[in-house]
Amino acid sequence: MNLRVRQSRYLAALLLLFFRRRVLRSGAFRSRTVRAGAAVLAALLFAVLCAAAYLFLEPLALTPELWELMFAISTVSLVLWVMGAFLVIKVLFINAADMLELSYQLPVTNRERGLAFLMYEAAITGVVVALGFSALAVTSLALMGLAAVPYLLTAFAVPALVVYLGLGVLHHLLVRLWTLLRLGGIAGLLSVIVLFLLLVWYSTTMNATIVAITDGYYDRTGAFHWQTAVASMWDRSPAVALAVSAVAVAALTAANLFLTPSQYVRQSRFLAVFTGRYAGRVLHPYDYCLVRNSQTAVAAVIAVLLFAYLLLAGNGLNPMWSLVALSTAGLYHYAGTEPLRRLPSATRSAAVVYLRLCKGQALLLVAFAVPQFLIGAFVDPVAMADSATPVLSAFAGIVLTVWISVVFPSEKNNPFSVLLGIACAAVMFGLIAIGLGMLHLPAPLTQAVLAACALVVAAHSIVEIHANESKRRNREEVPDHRGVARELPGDHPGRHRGGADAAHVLHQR
Amino acid sequence: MNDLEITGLTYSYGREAKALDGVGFAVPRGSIVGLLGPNGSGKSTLIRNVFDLLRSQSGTITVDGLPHTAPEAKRKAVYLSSNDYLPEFLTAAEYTAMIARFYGLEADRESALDLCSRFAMDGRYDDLIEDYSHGMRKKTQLMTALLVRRRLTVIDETLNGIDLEAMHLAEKELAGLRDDGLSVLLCTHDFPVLERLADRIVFLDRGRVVHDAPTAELVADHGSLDTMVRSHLESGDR
Repeated sequence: MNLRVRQSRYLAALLLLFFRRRVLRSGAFRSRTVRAGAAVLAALLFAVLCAAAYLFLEPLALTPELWELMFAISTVSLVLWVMGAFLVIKVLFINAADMLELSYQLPVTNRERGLAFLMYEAAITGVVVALGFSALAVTSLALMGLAAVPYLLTAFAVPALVVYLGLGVLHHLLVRLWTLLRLGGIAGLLSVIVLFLLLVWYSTTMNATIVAITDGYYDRTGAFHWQTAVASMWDRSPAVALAVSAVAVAALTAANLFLTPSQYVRQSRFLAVFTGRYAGRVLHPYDYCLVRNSQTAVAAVIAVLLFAYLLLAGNGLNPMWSLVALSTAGLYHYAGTEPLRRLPSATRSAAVVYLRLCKGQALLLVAFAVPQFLIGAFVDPVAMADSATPVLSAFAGIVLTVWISVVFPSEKNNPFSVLLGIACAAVMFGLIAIGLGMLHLPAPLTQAVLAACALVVAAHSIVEIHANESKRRNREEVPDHRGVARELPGDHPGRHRGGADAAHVLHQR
Repeated sequence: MNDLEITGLTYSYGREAKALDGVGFAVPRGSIVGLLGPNGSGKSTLIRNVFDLLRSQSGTITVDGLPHTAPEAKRKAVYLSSNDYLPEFLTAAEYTAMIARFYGLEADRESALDLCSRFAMDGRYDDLIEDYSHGMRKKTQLMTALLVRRRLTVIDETLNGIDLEAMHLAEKELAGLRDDGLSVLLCTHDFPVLERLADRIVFLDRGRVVHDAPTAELVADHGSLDTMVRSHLESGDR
């Protein structure tokens, strides 16, 4: 199978160093104080979540039989969480192939490169899932002691692993299917859309499953649910549960390795859309970078599907919330437009750059919001009441994603910077949300606080753009100064047309 | 025995842009073969096919008799790319150790420091590559290849941009590889270097092999490699 796991491990170690020495030292994280502050905030958020979980679960400590029910219900949510994490990681890794240039001079086969990246995707998904359930796990251990370990194993660890590996197999099969259908160039994009549909379908079944599990628990009927299969097996025989789990994990891992595609698929980073003359009158090169990006296409399709689902499902959630999905298109926008800022005649103030970054996304948002609102008002006017809040939230999402793309610039389109930015934003705004929730402020005051936060985030983005651009110009103007990089990413002739095909070496598709 | 053998290699970017059109040649064991041609002639595309960074669309490539995609073939060849995009977050020492580890070797620090000194990089071996100039990065690539000493060393314009002193040393070291029975495929626009160093020349233009002959023979026929290339580019044969 042309696969030496050791070579993949070495390459994964190189990528880890890249993460530690570049990603954790770039953007806002250049400052040790900021890194320490972020760690403190993350620890604080974790402590708050643990405390909340403890307060919620402590009464259950007296009724241990309820633990089983709680873990069963948590497993149902865990599956959705794993699916969401898998989906987000796949979206962020669609354009990650640029990072592979680091490995072009290494004696590794394409399959080994692919495996190294799969290891990263798995590790990051694992971290995301662990973070989501760590407060519950820590609290369980605190309340139950070692008796919680079987629950954590059968309700969290094994189901998460099996679902992740199963999704991996499905993703590989989908890529092969698209390749057979001569759609290999957009295989990543199409696969993500199918996975999203799967996630939506699963989310629609969740409530019914939870109700059925709860009813079954109280009725003592014990109906079978695949999500809780491992826990059910454990109840009958821990040894059998462990053996079956080990076999399942081994089989799915082998299937993932075997299915890593060996045929060629060229992944398109940009799609040839808006090529007409009229588009040129409206769109700036910054906007082209956004609207032609394959990740924007993913975000757009997800927004439309989500809108249709929310409108037709009639579950009480305003369908305009689907617009928030569009905000994700801007996560790579600042790094993607760097070549434009390096043009000698393109020097603009940080504020102008910021407005250009926001303008494309705002146009995109309006282009989707108007028809969606009209369709929604025609199909279900009641569902569209109070559409201002979701639309404003989507615009706030633009401010946030531009901030992430500026403060955590993604060198070589690496997804790690973006993930780090998302994590920091989640910690900060998680704490703000918890704080606002605890204060019980009147609605206008809460809105004022959120607006002030948005302004601060926008101002910080502009300051960072100014700092980044000053540093970049300094690097270019001081060519032979020690401690200063001489040649910037993107300066190398081999990375343009005629360069190695990143999709081929990543996926050997 | 050939350390690199290419037959009928074809590669196209899109439907019409044929970068390589039935290219075939060999790098015999213990020889230096110069690869030259104008920009867009297919030199880099060819090298990237050899290292499976582009998937060859037809033809065969073998490294020391092994299919070029095989893990064993990867261990037999080292590639120095035309750009200097190295992991800037590593020191040269770490970079060298990492490359050596990939080949199942252990980097000899003393030899590396000696090479560093000879390439006028004293005291910089433990500095981050981020702090290196363009020329120093190229020298680092070259030093690493000289340290791991593979059966086939492929150099894609890596020597462009290094100073005269380093170039002179590089020529000596590459000749040393040949003397040890190892092979080099050297892609460069520096004709005098090729005339001094290469045993054979493969001249590519528009994805086809125009000349594949001993350097001495080509120089005798055309006066110099420079004249050979110029006369071809100005002729109506293209």
